Amino acid sequence: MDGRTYGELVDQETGVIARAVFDSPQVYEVEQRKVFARSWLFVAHASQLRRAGDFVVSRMGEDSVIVSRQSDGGIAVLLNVCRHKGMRVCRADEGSATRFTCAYHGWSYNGAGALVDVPHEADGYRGRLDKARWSLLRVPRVESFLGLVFACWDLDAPSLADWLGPAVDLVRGAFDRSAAGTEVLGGVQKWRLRGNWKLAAEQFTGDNYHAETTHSSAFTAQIAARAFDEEVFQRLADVGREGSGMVNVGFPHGHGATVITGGEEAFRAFHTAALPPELHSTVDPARAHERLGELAFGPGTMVNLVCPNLAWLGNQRTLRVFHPHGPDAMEIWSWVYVDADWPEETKQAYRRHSTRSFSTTGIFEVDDSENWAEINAVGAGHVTARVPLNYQMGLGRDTGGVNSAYSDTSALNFHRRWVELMDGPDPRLPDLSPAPLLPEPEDG
Amino acid sequence: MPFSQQAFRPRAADAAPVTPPTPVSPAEHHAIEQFLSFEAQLLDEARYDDWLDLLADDLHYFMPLRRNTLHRDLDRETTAPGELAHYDDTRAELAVRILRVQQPTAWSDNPPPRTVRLISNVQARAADKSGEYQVRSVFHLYRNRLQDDTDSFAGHRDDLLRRDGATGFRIVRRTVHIEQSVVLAKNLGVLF
Repeated sequence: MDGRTYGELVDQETGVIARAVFDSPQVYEVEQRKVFARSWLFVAHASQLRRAGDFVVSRMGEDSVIVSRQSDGGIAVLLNVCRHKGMRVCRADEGSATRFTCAYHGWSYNGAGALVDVPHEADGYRGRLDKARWSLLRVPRVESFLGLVFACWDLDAPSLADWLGPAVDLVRGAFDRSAAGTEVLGGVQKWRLRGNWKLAAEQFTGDNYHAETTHSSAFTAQIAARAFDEEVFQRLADVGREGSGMVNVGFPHGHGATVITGGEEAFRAFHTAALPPELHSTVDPARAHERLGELAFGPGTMVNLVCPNLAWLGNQRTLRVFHPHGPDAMEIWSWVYVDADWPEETKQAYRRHSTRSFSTTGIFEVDDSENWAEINAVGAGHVTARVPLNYQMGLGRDTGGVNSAYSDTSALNFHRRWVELMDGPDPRLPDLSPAPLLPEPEDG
Repeated sequence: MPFSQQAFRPRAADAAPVTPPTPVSPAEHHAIEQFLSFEAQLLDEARYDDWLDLLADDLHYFMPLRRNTLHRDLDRETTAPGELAHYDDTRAELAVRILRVQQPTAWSDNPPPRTVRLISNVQARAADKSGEYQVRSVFHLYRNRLQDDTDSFAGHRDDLLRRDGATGFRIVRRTVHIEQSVVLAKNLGVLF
């Protein structure tokens, strides 16, 4: 950055952000190291890995990883790259396996990543290959919380609990509503689109402002079909007003959300506003209230981002990750999560509603991707690249990160954390040094 | 050619060898092909209200996800009913999608896309119920929009068609198998 810092791209005082944050290849390259190799990243939901040997292939930034349930019940996260010639080891998206065998020369690893079989080891390496040190690279930090499995490359990173900090309430408010916890339904929707990953991430910190314009067509259709109640919906459209019962919160470490503050009445109103009538009976916070107290009515139940790229809509039950895929593209991975002890028909009703609203074909989502794609599509111009972007809504009016549900406070808070990481130290990665051949055995 | 939610159905070791479908009469086959071509034209011309007329009231419109699995797990290559899907709609739910896309504020489709679809490899056979046909067809849908948004979707469809006095046929069931695991487009908000 020519000696400048990334802080110069994000001006918290005037509330403007340079477009380079969203499309510079140089920024992107640094981001892979400073943001994605330093952060706790969501890699799987525990319900995808019910039995020993179950695995899914996931992503940490652009790194492909295998997330695998161990025989002791633990979870290993392994770099999905053969230590021999760098081939992708596992080419299935999910399954159950005791071995991952490379299709190139046949190096074979067990579910914990240990290199257990090398074809022609005796002839080729004369028994001198240090197999223990040519095992799959194992992500050093793995922690699960309420069914969410996170991994982190950085040996110096704080614990997941410290990383979440007060934003732990977001996770609890969403994923701890029942003693049975949550599960994701089968299948991961994946799609690749133009648009920098941060455009989606910052929106999920609480951009309620876009809904009225971007999603006008979806709201109109749902109201016309009597799936949404117009009066209740009007309240959702007015969440920017003081005393609306909803605020934006920027949490420490960049996490952000729109949080209901109006108690049970507001919780019921905001949740039924964007659900069809057949799901209204599921909006009953009584059980969660017994478990969580007032937390049951507030954080985690609307739009949420756990920095850098895990997001969910608590009322719609869509859970997603915005994977970076080059400076101007992202890959969205999307699940539907439900309370594990809900009746099957409730789970299915949420699956169908959530898919119709937020997915590859979702009547809301299709208009979101239009925005993200076109922001990057129009970004190449010489002058365009120099025109700053406006984040001034509610600037200077926040109290400790809390502001109107129509404000850029939580988005700026996300970018503040991004700068902190970008200007911060490199991650301390696990030992990547190559192991030499073992000594020649003594002639005996 | 039975209906299946699975894209791949490995033949069991003791299963009988494959036999070509018993064809319907040339006149019936022609009528079915012409119906599918007409339907494709309605969709390419965004005449969605007219398209809705071709759907039976008890329609199930289903497009499962595809995932990469090893050969031994091919029965899981396509998501099953109850798992996530791109589409899993009734006629009334498709009507809401259409109502949305017809709004001037449906930004993903305004300006509208240009699409053209080839419907080919049509195989039809009589279904169990009189006047119903199981029809398999292959599609290739090209979509171009704005400056350079270009999508190409290929796959096959398993339909159940029902004879109808007014429209020739109505679509009772449609299962669409798209040949992409990671969808390589910013949305799949297009009807197949």
